[in-house]
Amino acid sequence: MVYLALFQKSFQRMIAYRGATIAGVLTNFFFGLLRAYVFIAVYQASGRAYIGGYSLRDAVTYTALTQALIASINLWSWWEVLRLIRSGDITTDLTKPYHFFSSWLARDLGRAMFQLIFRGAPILIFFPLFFELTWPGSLLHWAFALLSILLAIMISFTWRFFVNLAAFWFVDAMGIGRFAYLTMTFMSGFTVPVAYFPDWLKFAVNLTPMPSMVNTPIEVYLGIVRGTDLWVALGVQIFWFVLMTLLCEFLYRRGVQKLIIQGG
Amino acid sequence: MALIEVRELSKHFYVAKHRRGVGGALRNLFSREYTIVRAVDNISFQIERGELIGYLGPNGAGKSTTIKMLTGILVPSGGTLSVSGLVPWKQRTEHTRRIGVVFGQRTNLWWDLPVIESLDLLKYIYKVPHERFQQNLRNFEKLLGLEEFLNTPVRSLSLGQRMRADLAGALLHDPDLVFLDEPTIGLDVVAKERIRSFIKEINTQRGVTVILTTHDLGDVEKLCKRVMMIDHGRLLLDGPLSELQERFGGERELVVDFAEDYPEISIDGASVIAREGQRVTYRFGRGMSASELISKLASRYRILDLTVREPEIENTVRRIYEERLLSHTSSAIREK
Repeated sequence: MVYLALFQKSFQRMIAYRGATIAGVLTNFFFGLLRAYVFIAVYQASGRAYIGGYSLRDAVTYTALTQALIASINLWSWWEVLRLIRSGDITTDLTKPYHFFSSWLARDLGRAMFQLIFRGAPILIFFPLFFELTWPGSLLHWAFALLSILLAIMISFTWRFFVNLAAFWFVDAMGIGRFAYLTMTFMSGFTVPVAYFPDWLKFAVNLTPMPSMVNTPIEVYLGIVRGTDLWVALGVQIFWFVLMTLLCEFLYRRGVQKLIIQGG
Repeated sequence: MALIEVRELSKHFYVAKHRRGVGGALRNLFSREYTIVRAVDNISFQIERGELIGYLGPNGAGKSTTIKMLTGILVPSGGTLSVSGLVPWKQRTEHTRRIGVVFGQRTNLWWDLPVIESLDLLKYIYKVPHERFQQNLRNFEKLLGLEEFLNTPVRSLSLGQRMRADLAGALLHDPDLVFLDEPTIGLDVVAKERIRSFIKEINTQRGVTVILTTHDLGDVEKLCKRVMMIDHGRLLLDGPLSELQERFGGERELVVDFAEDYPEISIDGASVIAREGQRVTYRFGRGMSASELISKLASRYRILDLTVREPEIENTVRRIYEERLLSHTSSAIREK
């Protein structure tokens, strides 16, 4: 199947970036240590065992996980579709018999899978040398965590795709995109867990797909979300993926129609 | 029915006029004026299966806009267009399955992957049966000499190698029709030759219809029987290459080696442009045939040797572009 092939080639393609992978792991790892020590200081200063339902060990694990997921969820830099539109290279996609959105989803998942393994796993393997981490208690728990991570990557893709589509309408789409990515970094619960937010902000953020991209899979992993809440969390993720996909498809069609009607 | 039917096809773009200066820029924010650019203006033609057509025109003439409409990337502003019964922009997915496209300036291959991996991906994209894929690949390996770099990542290829790989990629799924947009751009003579012979081979052996846009007239001379020339969005010429030379080739030259030194060698209808001992070069217009001139000369002088020089096609085309030779004819036709 073409999408499977795209997934596979995209995974394979990442192997070309061995140097970047190693450098990325080191950077993410050391920033992770730094962030973990900040949490430790905060917990010690406050004298509380739990903040927002997170124990200190949970908070440190949260740090390790967010650092491990940076590359695959791709919080800050993904401009492939934007560049395609801007350079006109989109013509090579438009002369191929596949579905544009799906083809890029497949390519992005291939990339994400590579980075989950080669940039994510090493961080989880080496973090325990410095700190004690929380681990899922059962295989089933692992499975749910991985499923939630997969959904998070897919939702983050729809968000990134959505941001990239701005290039159909704006010359300065990259500026808009940078702002959007910055917002995503904070609102997704990457900087600090959403549980730490004041209530009004928590409420606002939960009306967006952002927490489903980072916060949700981590709380599933930590077991903070469990039982019925777990099903609700996964349901919300699926809901956002479907909704964002429809939105992207709608916007893409309008954009490409504009391109092909007005010229490019 | 012809493979490609194009009737009164037009494509107009609206381009915002930019006022200059800061004041102008501010005014641009509130009101915009548009100019209409007629990139393709009312052109009609038919292309039969198996033809190999050279599509010529200076930069910005409307070539690439035409190709984009034929491949389904652009929607026409007017007129009709069908390719093997399909309307490209409406039935794009189905249409793209049957065509091959090489845009010389872009690539269909993945930059970071070895060539073979990209070709393998195309197998899945076009759902080519494995047997057929292998067969085509072996064939193209031989014709294009792909073996030497099949396992090299695309980013490390030379331009000529990349173009060969791209050509193979565009033909692996046995398309009926391929669009080659400047496939020899920037290539050295050897690479050009190799690509030309490949294009010829797929056209004659596989019956693939080829539409070739190029600025390299060597491509056209070696490959195309039929030439279409477009400028300012209008189809100025559509016919055999020889017709182009006949109509617009301008003056030809006849080099004569006389048997003796004649003091008077002028002749009606031709002018002497060079004289070196017994060798004289005449220039004559299209009003007179070469044999006419030769028999006139032969009746008066003893001749040892003769050569007729056709003007270089290169020069002919340059004259057409520069002097806009054809725009007059086309408007004259319109007025009738």
